[in-house]
Amino acid sequence: MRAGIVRFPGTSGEQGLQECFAQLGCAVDILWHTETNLGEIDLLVIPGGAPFGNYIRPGALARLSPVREAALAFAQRGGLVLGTGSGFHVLTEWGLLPGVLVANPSLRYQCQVELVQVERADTLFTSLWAPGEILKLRISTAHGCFQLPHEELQELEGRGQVVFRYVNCPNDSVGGAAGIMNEAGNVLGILPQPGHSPDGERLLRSIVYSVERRMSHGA
Amino acid sequence: MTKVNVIITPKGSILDPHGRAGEAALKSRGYAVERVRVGKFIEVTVPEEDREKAKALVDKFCTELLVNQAMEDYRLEVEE
Repeated sequence: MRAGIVRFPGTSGEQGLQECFAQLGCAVDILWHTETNLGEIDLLVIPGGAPFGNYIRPGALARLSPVREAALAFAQRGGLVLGTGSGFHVLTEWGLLPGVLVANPSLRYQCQVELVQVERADTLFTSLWAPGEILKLRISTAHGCFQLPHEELQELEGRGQVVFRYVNCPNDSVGGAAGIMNEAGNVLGILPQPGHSPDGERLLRSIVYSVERRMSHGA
Repeated sequence: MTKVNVIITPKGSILDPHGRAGEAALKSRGYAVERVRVGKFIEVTVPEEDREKAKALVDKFCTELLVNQAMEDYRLEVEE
C-alpha cells in the first residue's frame, strides 16, 4: 500500500505518520501542497500541525493550495482520504466533510490522551475493530470543537457518519464526535492525532488492513 | 483604489467560545449584557476604482477564502 501525505507550510504531523505507516510496511510519499499529481497512491493523508500558521481560520489558506483540486478528484473517484488533527479542518474547508471545528470552549490548547470509542466497525477505515471498542488517542489542538447545526447533526447521525466518539468529550463537540466520515464513506476526519497516540499505530493498522483488503478484492 | 471592509460574525447556530467568554467576563463585572459575539474585521484595499466592481471582487474573495459560510455570516461596507 502506498500512502501520500500532504505537507503544507506549518504542517508538523507528517513525520510521525510517515514512521507509523513505514512500520506497517507501507510506502509513503510526502507531497508538497503545490503538487497537482498525487501519483499512484492508495490513501491520501492530510496530517496535523498548523497549516499556513492557522491564519484566517485553521485550514482556510489550504483552500488555495494546488493540491486541493487533485485531492477532490481523488476523493471523487472513491480514493480513501484521511485527515487528522488540523487535517480534519482542511477536509471541512475543502468541502469534503460537513461541519466546522471552532475554538475549544475552555479557550485552552488541549494536549491530552482521550478515550475514543469506535462507533462504526464496518467502514473502510475501521474494519479491524469491534463496535464499542475503546482507543487511547491524543488530541493536541486549540480548535477541537466540532460544530454542525442541529438538523445536520441529526442527518449525520442517522446516516452513521460519526465513526469515533469521545467517551468523555473534552471540547463540547456536537454529539461528542471525535471522527466523522463523508456520506460515501471514503473520507474520514479525526481530531486525535495517531502519530502521537498510545493507540495510534492500532488506528493506522486498521486503515492499512482495510485498504489492502479492498485492493486485494480489486475494488 | 477602493477600500472594502469585511465584517464577519459567527452564525447563530455555531458555538462561539470567544463570545461566550467575553460575555461571562462582562457579567462577572456586574454589567447587564444580553449577548457577546466575537467575529472578525478585515480591510481589503483593491486597485479597482469602481465601487460596485470593487465590492463584487471582495465578495469573491470572501466566498473563496476569507469566510467559511458553514460557520460565519459576513457583510461588506465600501469606505467613502
